[in-house]
Amino acid sequence: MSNVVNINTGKKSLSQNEVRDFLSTNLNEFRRYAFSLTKDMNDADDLIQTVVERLLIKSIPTNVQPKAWFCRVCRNAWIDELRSRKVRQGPEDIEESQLEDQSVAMRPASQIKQIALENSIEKLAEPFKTVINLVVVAGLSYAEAAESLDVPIGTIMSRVARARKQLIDKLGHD
Amino acid sequence: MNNDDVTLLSAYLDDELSPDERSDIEARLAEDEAFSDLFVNMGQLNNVILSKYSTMDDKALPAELEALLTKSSDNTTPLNLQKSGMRRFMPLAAAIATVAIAIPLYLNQLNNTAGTVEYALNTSPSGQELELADESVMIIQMSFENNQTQLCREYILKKPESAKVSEQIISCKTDSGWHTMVVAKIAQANITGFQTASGHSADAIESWLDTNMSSDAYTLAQEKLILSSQD
Repeated sequence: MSNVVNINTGKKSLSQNEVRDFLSTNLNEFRRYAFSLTKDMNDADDLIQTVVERLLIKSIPTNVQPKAWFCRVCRNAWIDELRSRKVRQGPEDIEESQLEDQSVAMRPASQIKQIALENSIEKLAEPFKTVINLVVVAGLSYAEAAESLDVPIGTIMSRVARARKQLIDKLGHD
Repeated sequence: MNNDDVTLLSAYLDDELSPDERSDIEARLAEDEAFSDLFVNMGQLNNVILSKYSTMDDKALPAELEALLTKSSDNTTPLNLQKSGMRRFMPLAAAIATVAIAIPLYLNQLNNTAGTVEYALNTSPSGQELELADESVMIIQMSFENNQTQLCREYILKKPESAKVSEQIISCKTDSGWHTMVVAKIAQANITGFQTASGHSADAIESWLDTNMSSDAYTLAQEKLILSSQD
């Protein structure tokens, strides 16, 4: 199945098997994207599983870009999960704990520059981190990222560039 | 290196430029060393980001997830959620629903300024979808400081009477309250055809940001601190 949905067929949403094909074809990019949100591999697969179940039940409308739709559902499911953890854990600064990448401390010293860069990425303000994750990690086009976030394409174009510039400047000063 | 150069180079890296624009960039890359260095740095940055998250590829796919993705011969078979992996997230559905519903109620039940754009700008962190008293939906995108050291916030406003057009707005807080600095209309129609990345109504927003944004966008923690210290 092609990832491009034919909007002229009259169908309002994809069949379960079409959704499965679409998800399987893009599974690597989607798992990486989920990992970029959760910072934990097991959480990432749980998140993917939640989204896959949701999409198999509710399907994907034929009048949307499916990758953009997936990323929007995935992001919202993760926000829901963080909110629910906040409810369970109390008003702790959960976003701070989520931003900590536990694996960084385990890496060898030769990767210091890479670790510095990874830390800088985590410290990017949310709007910039979001577009980097959608465009670079999930591989969405600017049009798909714009649809996923409900913002104009020009905003995506500008924010990806700003994020890259910020990261390069920060590393230059380290 | 100005902002336009950075934006063009970034879009080139993402394969978002027209053939003519690509040729122009390639010609400049061949003769402009600073431009070429920036491109190399951007490429390295991409590699680091990708290598960080592609470690996920090495993790075996959980059996439950694999089973979900295995094609069923019966296209209409309903899923059995009891057997599959909502195990960690589903028990939390009630708590999630409470949070989702609580936001509009909270805004509507406070004093007469609650449920307004101004109230949300004064109190709500970025990233939440807020239902206002007039049934508009507001999503605050980010907060930052402008050149006059005022707190500014960028947000999307979807008004119920114009469901197909939203507004992208930047407002800044002065001594007399919030003032709208720039507004761009956003068509909500689905983007199904090819569009170039440039030449959009968001240009007004982006050029305003280029001229007036003096800080990086605040993190959620910084935002929380700033909002709590407001009057």
